[in-house]
Amino acid sequence: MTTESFIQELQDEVFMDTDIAQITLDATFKDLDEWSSLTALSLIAYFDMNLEKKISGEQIKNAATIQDLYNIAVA
Amino acid sequence: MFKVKGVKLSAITGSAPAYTEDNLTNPIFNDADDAARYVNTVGVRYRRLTDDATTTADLFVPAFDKALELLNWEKSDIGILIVITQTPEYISPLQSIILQSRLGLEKSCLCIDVPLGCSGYIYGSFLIASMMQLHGIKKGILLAGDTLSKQASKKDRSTQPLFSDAATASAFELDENAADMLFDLGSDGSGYENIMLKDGGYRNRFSEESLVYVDKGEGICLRGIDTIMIGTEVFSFAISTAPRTIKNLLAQYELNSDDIDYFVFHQANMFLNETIRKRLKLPAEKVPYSLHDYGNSASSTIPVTILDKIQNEISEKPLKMVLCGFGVGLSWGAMYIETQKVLTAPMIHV
Repeated sequence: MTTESFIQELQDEVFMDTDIAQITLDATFKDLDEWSSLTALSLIAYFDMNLEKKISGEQIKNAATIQDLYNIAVA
Repeated sequence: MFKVKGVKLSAITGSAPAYTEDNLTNPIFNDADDAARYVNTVGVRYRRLTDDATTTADLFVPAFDKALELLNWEKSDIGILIVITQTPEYISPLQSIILQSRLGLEKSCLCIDVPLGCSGYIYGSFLIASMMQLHGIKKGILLAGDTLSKQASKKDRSTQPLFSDAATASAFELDENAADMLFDLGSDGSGYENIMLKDGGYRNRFSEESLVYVDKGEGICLRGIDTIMIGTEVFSFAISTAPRTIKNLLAQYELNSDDIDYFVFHQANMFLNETIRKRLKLPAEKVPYSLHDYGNSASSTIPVTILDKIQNEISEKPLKMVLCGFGVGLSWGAMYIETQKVLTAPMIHV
């Protein structure tokens, strides 16, 4: 998966109300307006359903940027 | 996988407090927008709350009385009483035994408590139907209910706006013409800390410290006597496990989901349940919700949802249903049941 397609999918599935221009690899995703405990659940659901991967609450807590999420996605 | 033959679900009744609180004006939220967003995504508008003096047992009594009235059964006919609750009157003795006397049941009636939560209705149905089939017990009552609001910290936004109180009674009887009940059941104790009430057992005895609020961050501040719920872990568990147990059940018994009239899930929260529904590719009209008016009341949510949303259908025509519960334990189960005009009454508000 390319970083571009990952960002597009994040926008489609998780950050639906966020402008895609704001979802950059170095963006601190917890600073996005849309971030909340429910977005965290959307992120878990996206990993589980689209990527068939588990992402734990702890991994989300430790991740800072979209790049960190991508690294978990392709690990 | 388990199959139980010759046991029929005859009646379902339920009761819940008449007193409600509205999440749109719940002071736990930052502002009106925050509250509205919660109601939209989690699905709970009203919570039904008991006062301090009212216990789960007090909610069971009207549900039981109504069921017996509908069935026209004699109390002496009831050979087994199973109570599913995590909020009994006392740690000891069992709730079912106290209720045997209060409800006026025979001393020969088998009384069993099963302290399961969100998966409890499935296990309770499995246990009562199995015992009845195996030992030829003609009539049995399954009580499933919780006053879950009493386990929520008033300062925890992951549980306080979600937890609600309700109790239900389900009547089962031997009937050689009844379709087989089918079950898929499972447990994973490695996740026991994900939903937990830490104090008051014998690992952490109740003490003065049990009453001290500890701030866990992210809007969660709770005491040792309050339920702690690790939302992300529970979510992750439920969205993978619930679809899997249902798929197992359907595959094992070669059932086609198109032939099922309704899939009734434990009412965890709307966002989680909708993720499960989409994962199973089920049409919205086959998956009823009672979250809006009844919240999450642990073991009672499945029968409450039946009464709240499909009471007419289940009373008037035969239905093929899949029921699924998942949660504290971690524990889960799914069952397939074909019902034949189940006796019901609207939820009783007391």
